[in-house]
Amino acid sequence: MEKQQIIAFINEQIANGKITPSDLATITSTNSSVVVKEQSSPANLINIFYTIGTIIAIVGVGILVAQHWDEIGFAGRVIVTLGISLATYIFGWVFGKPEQKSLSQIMFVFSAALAPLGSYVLLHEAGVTYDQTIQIMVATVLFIIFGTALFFSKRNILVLVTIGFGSWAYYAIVLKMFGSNGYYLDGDFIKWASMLLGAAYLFIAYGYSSSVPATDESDAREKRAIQNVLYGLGTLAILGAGIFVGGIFDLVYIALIFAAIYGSVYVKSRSMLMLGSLFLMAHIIKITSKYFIDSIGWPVALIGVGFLVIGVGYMTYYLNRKFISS
Amino acid sequence: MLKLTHMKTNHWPLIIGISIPILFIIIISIIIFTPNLYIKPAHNFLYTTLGEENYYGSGQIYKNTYAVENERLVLRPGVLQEKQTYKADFLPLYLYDVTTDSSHQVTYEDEKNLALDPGPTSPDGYSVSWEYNHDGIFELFGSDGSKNGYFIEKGKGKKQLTGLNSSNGYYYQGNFKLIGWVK
Repeated sequence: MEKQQIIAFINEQIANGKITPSDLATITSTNSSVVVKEQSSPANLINIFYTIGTIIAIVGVGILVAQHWDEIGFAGRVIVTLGISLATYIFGWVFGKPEQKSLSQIMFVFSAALAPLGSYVLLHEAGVTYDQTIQIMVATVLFIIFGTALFFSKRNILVLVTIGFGSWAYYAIVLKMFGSNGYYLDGDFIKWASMLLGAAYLFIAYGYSSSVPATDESDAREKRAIQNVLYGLGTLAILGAGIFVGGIFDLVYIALIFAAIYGSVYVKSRSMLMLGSLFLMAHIIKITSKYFIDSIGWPVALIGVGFLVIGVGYMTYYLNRKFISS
Repeated sequence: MLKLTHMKTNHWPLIIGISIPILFIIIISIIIFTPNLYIKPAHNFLYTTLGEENYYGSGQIYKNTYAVENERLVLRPGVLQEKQTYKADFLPLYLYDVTTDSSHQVTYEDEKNLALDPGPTSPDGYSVSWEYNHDGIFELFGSDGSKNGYFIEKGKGKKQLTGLNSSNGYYYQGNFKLIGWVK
């Protein structure tokens, strides 16, 4: 069958309603090496305007509410926080068409940003202390609410929102558990908890695109952006917490850093590479000052560290250019 | 132009990612809370509450305090220092029931024939101590002041003495004094 015949056949099937354009999009996203036309620039421009408009609106609402916080009373405070959060959540659902994707995601972000504040205002006015137990409940409820929205609407930004509320619940639970049993003073637990959460972020980032295939090119780009954020946050959590553990873990930590650098090439994540390199530099400085200052002295140590940091910088540049940017 | 490459649907990384924090919380819960399940003290205890005058020197003391001698509750007369007066005849005396987690004020006459172990550890190895709680990380994840208070503990397990902390509202570290465990 010739190409023109195939196209004519597909057109005919679309006209008959046997297949839809979304079926074609699914086929192109799940089959190998399919090249999709890039999103047109006017749509990008609209997205930029949406984003700028949202930021301006959030800042405006924030200033207005802050100026009149005491005057608007309980009802006013609940309306401008929880009320707007609820309204924007509903709008996020209502804007369900593919071309309204950006607007819908912005609404969800607005809703997610105001929801914790709204819950605080409501509970505070009701005389409920915003303690750990309440925070666990609020975070879990918000996690479920926005997780439901993610499950049904498939808006990519909701991945970050849901993970954010999930992380809040996680820390509140972990702190309550350790705190209530006197382990709190042993501060290492929060480092291990953070490192595990970081590992979870990396798995979720890696698994997200393979579990939920992109429907079109713009969706693929969004998923890629979400993945990069999660790779960055996961790396930051693991390496940021790990550097403070110390002791024998200093050796394991070197392996973690190189795992991050190797992993960054594997998953093509620039944020992971940058963070891996930054923590490698920090670790070199830490190890040198801790173990070698007494034997070789400050000046020699500084020279050594300087060259090592230059080496790490060049390695980062090389890996980025050779394996990630390409 | 953007190239979308073929990718086989694989849910395992996502499942692992979501499971890690949940499993961590479950495992830590088991490690922390399992010892608490075995906290079943069998011995009640007598205790008293020292008044603030003992610390701030308001010039008033109790005429009689308590001690355990030969396994029995005995009275110890309070010795008046210069410019001091008696506040009352007896320090308040309480009996804590560990089975019902309740506390009741009792009198010396009622309890003077009880067989007591002066402790501080009970015959079955329990002790009572005050524990502070924390305020989250810079208050970011909330404080939990309800967990401040007295705990009965043995090994790695412990249980809050709710009868001591909630019903007698104003307890703070220092004004609880264990007199002895009822044998």
